This record gives sequence, structure tokens and C-alpha cells, in this order.
Amino acid sequence: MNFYDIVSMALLAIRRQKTRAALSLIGVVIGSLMLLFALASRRGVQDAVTRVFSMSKQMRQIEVHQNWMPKEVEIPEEKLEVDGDLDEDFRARIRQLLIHHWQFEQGSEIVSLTRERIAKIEALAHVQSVHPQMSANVTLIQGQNELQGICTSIAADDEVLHERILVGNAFESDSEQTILLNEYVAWRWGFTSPSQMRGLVGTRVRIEQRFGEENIAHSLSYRNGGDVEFSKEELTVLNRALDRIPSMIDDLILPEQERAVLKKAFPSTTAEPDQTLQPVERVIAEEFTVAGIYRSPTEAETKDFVRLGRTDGFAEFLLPIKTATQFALRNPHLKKSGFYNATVLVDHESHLKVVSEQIREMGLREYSLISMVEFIQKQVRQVTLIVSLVAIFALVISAVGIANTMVMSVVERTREIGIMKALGAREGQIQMLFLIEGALIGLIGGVCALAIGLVIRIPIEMLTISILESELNKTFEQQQVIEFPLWLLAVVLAFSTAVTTLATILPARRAARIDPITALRHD
Amino acid sequence: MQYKANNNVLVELTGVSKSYGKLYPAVNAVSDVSFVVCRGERVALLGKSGSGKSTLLNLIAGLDRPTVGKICVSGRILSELSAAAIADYRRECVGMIFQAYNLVPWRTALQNVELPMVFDRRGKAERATAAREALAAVGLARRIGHRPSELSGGEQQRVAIARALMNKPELLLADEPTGNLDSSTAGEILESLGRFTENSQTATILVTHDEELAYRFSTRVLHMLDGRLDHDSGAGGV
Repeated sequence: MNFYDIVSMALLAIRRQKTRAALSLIGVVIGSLMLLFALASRRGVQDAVTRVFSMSKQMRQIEVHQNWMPKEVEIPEEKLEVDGDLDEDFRARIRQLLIHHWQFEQGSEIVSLTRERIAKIEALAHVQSVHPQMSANVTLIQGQNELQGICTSIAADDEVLHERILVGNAFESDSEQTILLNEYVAWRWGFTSPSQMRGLVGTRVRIEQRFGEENIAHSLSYRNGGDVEFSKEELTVLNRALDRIPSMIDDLILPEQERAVLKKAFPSTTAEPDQTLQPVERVIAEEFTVAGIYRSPTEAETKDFVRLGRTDGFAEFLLPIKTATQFALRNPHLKKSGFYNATVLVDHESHLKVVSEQIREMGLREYSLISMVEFIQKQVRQVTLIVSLVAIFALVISAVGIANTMVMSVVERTREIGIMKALGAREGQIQMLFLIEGALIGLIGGVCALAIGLVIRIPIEMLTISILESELNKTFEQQQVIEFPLWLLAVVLAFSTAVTTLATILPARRAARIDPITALRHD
Repeated sequence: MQYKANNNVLVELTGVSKSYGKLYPAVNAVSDVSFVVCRGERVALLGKSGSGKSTLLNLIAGLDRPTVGKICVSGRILSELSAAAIADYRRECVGMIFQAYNLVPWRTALQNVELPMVFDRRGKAERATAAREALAAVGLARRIGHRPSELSGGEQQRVAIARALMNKPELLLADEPTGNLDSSTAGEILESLGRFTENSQTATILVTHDEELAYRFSTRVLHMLDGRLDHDSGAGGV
């Protein structure tokens, strides 16, 4: 019996039992389809996510933030002693709390983004640029108009900013002396229509940043129960009064110890006692040309900003990144304590991880999209694994069904098997006949699954893309997230065929071993 | 292992017994039977139901193995053959005809007749031609596309005869081939069988309980009684 004859006889047998074969096929088709889409979407989604994020330079960016770390002070052993007759777990928990309390009492050390640290990051291999981000509460003055708001720095080539410009232009370079104003500023100053806003473009504005004053106001307000508010004039008076304290300490009737504490709190800023009556200047100011007006971010953009740790979402004013850095460094406090955060750009996304690790080793906090992409990819892998397992489970269940069907078939065809044996069929030929029948069910089921898969690929892909877009706030247009490479089609076909063939082994062996005399007497 | 024998002897049974059942006493279906059948000879195994004639036929066909004794057919000692070799023996040496025809119900007459050649790995065209010729020879040229259920008993048995002769067997074994047929059709069937084996080297062993039929068809009659060979009415001798 040649292969062609075996296949045609097996096909004939399947055709004779249409209903039974169809029911067996349904299980195979469902299992194969699940396996197909699980494997097809795994690679496709992972690649599409990486491609979409790689399109912009976001995949090469690392957001670096200053960090708070507990002071590395050795804890005296007596501070960790836990008295009492306690069980070991209880004692361990109390000891852990004592360590926490000790660290809290000792305070934490700020690892800030000082100019030295920024220079150190700039010197790292694969780092293209480091842009410290300025975000300060400033006052914007234009003639009689004055408005307080948040001023943030932004890169000239920021893709999202270009989309948000309503009037005028975005920055041409990172070091020009220009400013962008939020539409809110224009509205507050009465520039409500686009043509009126255009009138604002090209005008000169002044930015003033006061430092040290708000903190005093906040401390005093807090000390008085939080209900006290100070006007700008009152704040000036308060600061002048505080400025006079150093010259007054020696005249106060106080114990020497208390006098020393006061001197520590109010160090003398000048050597000339008569000048202490003059107000100390705590303002830095600069003039800029208005380059354009921009809109606030949309809800979707805001979601993205929060995810990326961007600070320009609700800023009223934007400055080019280098100009902003120079302006911010005029603040003596910031010059000393450093920036809150910075954006690091590496030359290639493959170096992101290495640079991130080096920054982390400096004690700074870092965040990049790669961790999010890796997280998404990990989740995709996990979902794929679960779906694949369910698919394999479905195929195994259908295989058990097929095994049962084949056992029934062997019983029903006992006489036929006897006839074949009497006519000289070998046991191997009979066995092969049933095995091929099982394999054909798997193959036909696999082919049906592939055909259905090709038809439903587009709607499934659209659904997957819509989920990805809503979850990641990215456009996946023209991205193929479900791919059917040839190897995958071959794997699905091979797997479905192998499972159903394996399911037929026992019934086939049983068929081959049937005693011909008994079989010929079978009704 | 090849059995050295007279070139004209096709089948040789020596002290063949077959018993069934594991419990004591076992049922002896065939006891100590010995005879030879020469090429071209037509032998009838005659006996009542339960006399062991069908069991003996199954042993000669290689469908069963003797408990004791030796069966040698065309130089092959059946008890020494492997399962695969026994299958080859049945396909190459033996043609079988059954009382119940034993046609595969969902295959057409042509497909049923082709079956022995299918197991013999013959080409599709070759076996189709041979099967058509065989069916034409038994007068069923117009019924090749019909399934067994669409054929009469006599026609079905003629399909079975055509099938049995497809591989040009040296030995034709017929187990009550006319048992399900009326006397007129039975006569036609026997006539067909006789026609095909006439002037050929094919030996025929016919199992029947019908004495008249046995003597009409065969040149030699072996009488079976309670599993033993009672007497041999022909030239072969016991």
C-alpha cells in the first residue's frame, strides 16, 4: 500500500464520518487558532511597540531626578536592642522599625543634580547631551501687565511643542533669548483672538524670579496654623526684618548658647553693620522676546506628559533649555544645591540601559521609556504564554476527543480491518492508515485555522491596535502587530498534526493487533 | 525457512491440531490432521457444523496458527513466519472467499476488487485495469461502480471471487461460498470458480457441509468429523 493509497483511504474514512470528523475538527481549529494568534501577536506587538517608541528620540532619553538617600550613619547597637520575652519574628519586626526610626531621625542626604554631577554625566560614554530642567515660579512683566506663573525649559527640537504652537514660532535654538507664552497668559492680558495674539509676538517681556521669600512665608504660615497669607508687600517687609536680625543678635539679652543658635540661623551677610538696614536683593531678572504663543496640552498629551515625567504640561512660560539653565544658575541657592531634574540624551537606544545604570550608581533617580517598553514586552510575553498554554490545553482536549473517536472508529471498522488483514494487509499498513487519518484531521484542522486566521487577522489586528493606542497613547497606524511569518504557519500546522497523530497512536496499534478471525466474525 | 518438498505438492499438513481455551479440558477444534494438496487440485473439506473444517481452512490461510503440527504451503512453513511474512503469504499465495462475502460496504465493486493489489503496492492504473478485467470475467462489467448494498448476493460473491483471484494466487480457499445463496445461484458461483481454476495451477480448497456440492465441484473430498480427518475419498489419501 503506497502513501497515496493510504491518504486516499484515510480521506475516504473521514468523509464517511462527516459529523464526527467535523466535531473533532472544531476542537483542532479552535486550539490552532488560539496558538496562531498567541504566537503571531507576541512578536508583532513587541516589535510594533519598540518601533513606535523608536520613531522619536524618546527612546534615547533618560529623565534624571535628584534623590534622597538615608544617611549612612552606623546605628549604635544599644539603639536596636529589643527587650522583653518576644518570639523571634516579633523581635525582628520591632528591630526593623527601630532601624527605620533611627534613619528618619538622622534625616536623609539629598543627591542633587549639581553642575559637577551634570558634568560627570556628560562625560559618560554614549551620552550626547544633558539638559537640566528649570521649573520655577516667576513673574512675567510686560509694560503694565504682570502675571505670576511657572516657567519651564524645553528643547528647541521638542516634537510635541511644535504641534502646540498657535501663533509665532517655536524656538530655533536652545540658547536664544526668546520666550514662549501659554495662551492663558495672552487671554489674561486681553489678547483673545489669533490676530491679537500675533501682536504679542516679537514684543519684549521681563521675567523676575524672587528666591528665599516664599519659603519664609510658608514657614510662618505653617507655624501659625496655615491660615495666614502674606501679600507681596508684606513679604518684602518680613524679609527686610529678617535681614536685620544678624546685626541685632549681639544686642539681645540672651544666654550665650541661645545667641550661638541664632547666629547659626541668621549668618551675617555683610561686614558693614550700617548696610544691614538696606534690603538684600533676592531677585534675578532678564528680558526676552516673545517668539510665540502655545496651547495647553490635550488630555491625551497630558497623560503622556505624566508618564514621561515632563514638566512643561502646565507651565505658563517656556524658555529655551540652555537660556533657562543660564538664567536659573543666577539663583545662588540653585547654583549651590543643583537642579531637580535633567534630560539625558544617549546616542543609541541600545546604550540606554548601560547609561541608566551608571546614573543610578551615582545615587540619582532615573527613568526612561525603555523600562516601560520592557514592562509592556514582559506583559505581552506573559499573556502570550498564558494564551499558548490555553491553546495547547484546547488542542490536548481535542486530541483526547480524537483518541476517543478513533477508538470508536476502530471498533466500528473491526470487520473491515479483518477483511484487509485476510487480503494480506500488514499490521504496519493498518496502523499507518489510522495514523494518517489522525494526522489528516490535524492537518485539515490546522489549514482551516490558518484560513480563518488570515480572514480574521485584520479585525483582530484593528482591535489590538486600538487597545495599544488607548493604553500607550501612541499612534500605531501602518504598524503590523499580527504577523504570520511562514515559520509560524509551519509550526501551527506541524503542532496540530503532531497532536492529533499522537492521539491516534493507541487506537492505531489496537487496530493493527486485531485478530483477523475475530474481526471477520464481528458484526 | 524453505520446505523441501515434491514440486507438485502445494499444501502439506502434518499432525496439525488446534485447541482453544485456557481451562482444562481444552476444546480441540482440529486434532492431528495430515494431508497434502497438489497444485491445480480441487479439494473439498466436507463435514457437519463444528467438525473443524473452517478452523482448518483458517489455519491454512494463515489467519490462525496451529497449536501442534506443521503447515507448509508453497515452501513456506506457516508457523515459522513472522506477522509481516504471514501477511505477505496471504496476499501473494492465497485467495479467500467467504460465506458472508466480506466486501467492504463503503467501497465500490471495483474498489473492493482492487484491494489485494492496493496492499501489494501496485500502481493505480495497473490495478484498475486488472480489477475491471476480473469483474468483466465474472460478468459484472456493468456493476463496477456499485456498492455491495446495491448488488445481489450472487453478484457480491462474484465480486469476492474476482477479488480473490486478483493477485493470481496459488491457493484458493473458499469457506461455504454458496452458503447464503439459492441453489441456482450457488450453481453459477461454483461454475465460475471451476472455470477460473480450470487449466491453471491454482489449487482450491472448498469448505462445505453440502455433500452433493462437494462432489460436484471437487476432484477429492476430505471428510471431517469432530476435528479429525475421517476419510479421504480422493486420490491424495490420508
